[in-house]
Amino acid sequence: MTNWLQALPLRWHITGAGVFVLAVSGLFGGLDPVAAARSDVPRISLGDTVEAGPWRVKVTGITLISEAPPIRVTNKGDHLLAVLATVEVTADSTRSDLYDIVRLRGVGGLRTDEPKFVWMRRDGAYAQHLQPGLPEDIAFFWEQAPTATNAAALEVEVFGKTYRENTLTYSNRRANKDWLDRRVHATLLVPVKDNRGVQP
Amino acid sequence: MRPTAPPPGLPPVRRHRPTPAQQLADIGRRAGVGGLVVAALAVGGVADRVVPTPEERQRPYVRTGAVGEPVSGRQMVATVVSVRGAGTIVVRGRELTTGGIWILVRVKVAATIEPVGVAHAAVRDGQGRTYQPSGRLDQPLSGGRFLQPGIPVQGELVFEVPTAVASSLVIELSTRPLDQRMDSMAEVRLPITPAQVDEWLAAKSVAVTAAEVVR
Repeated sequence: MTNWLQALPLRWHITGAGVFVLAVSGLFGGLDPVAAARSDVPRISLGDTVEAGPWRVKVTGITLISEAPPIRVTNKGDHLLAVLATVEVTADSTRSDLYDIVRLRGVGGLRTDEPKFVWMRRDGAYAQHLQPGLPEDIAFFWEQAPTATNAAALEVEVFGKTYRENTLTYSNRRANKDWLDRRVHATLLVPVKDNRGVQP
Repeated sequence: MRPTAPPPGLPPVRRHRPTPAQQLADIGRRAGVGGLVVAALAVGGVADRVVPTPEERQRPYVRTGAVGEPVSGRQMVATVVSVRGAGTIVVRGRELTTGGIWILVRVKVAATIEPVGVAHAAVRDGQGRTYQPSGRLDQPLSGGRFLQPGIPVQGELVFEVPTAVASSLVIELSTRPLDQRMDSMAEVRLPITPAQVDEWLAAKSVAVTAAEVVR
């Protein structure tokens, strides 16, 4: 057996080794499809529901307001852009990562990338947690410079996460699994209502 | 190049190629090694399935009890005193509604050795979903408050859960905030009936009571 193996050309050895490596890699997921490219992110309509990992999100509007006490803007004269959405936790435990749920894309004059405040509309107060199976109307607030002008409709990204094994640290979840790999699950164009002076 | 003569005392070399018997022995030896590797992998695979996972090995030491029974842990003794519910609660004069039901669990806790807090409190429903105390109010008993050894404190833990799961809840209490592994955890089933849930939802709002030192 050794003799015929030795008699094979070197090119065949290299090809065989490559096929072997690919086969082993395939066994451990190396040939699985890669994550969807950005262009593959679904484009949805206002009012559509997105199943985005630990939560289910339905964006219902964007409102532009001056200031909504007790929310105070950091820079005098700024106004507030609020993305309004209904969010239900579909994960099996209380979530506190509410600032990860939505982003505004391509909007000028925002003071921060992530929302400055997350507000539970039922209470008119800051939202710290969302409980599983209890949908809530949420307002995600961004501070915006007064000089910024907004288009009639703004692009909103809805983010989600993947439930998978945490390979780095203990996550205190079942089977050491956790919601990780935050990524955009859907985008949509949302009309802006100018309600400056009116609390959302 | 001419072949050299064998060293003195050794038989002359007549054949370099292995005989068919030697080839068979070689194949057998390689097959044996391959078989051992496969066997080792198989044993490893079985062991991986049979041996408890780290999560199972390191799970909390659960101590169970019923309402009214003290449940002793390593650093804390906890007693669920009573449970009630409401569709609306009043906290400092402010009414808080919910899309589900408020569950208020009155608990008596005492540190046993050193100052500790009720760092982990949650209710778990029949489907295994867990609910932390609501962040919509200042919780009277949890949230960074410390218990001094030998001084029992009684107060309410306030949870918000979907109505459909309210009669399948178990409360978990521990002194460990983030990682409850390898330490004691008290678990008490909350005796809530569907009829009580309906009754609580139909009733007026209830006020959350402050925590107090008890004997």
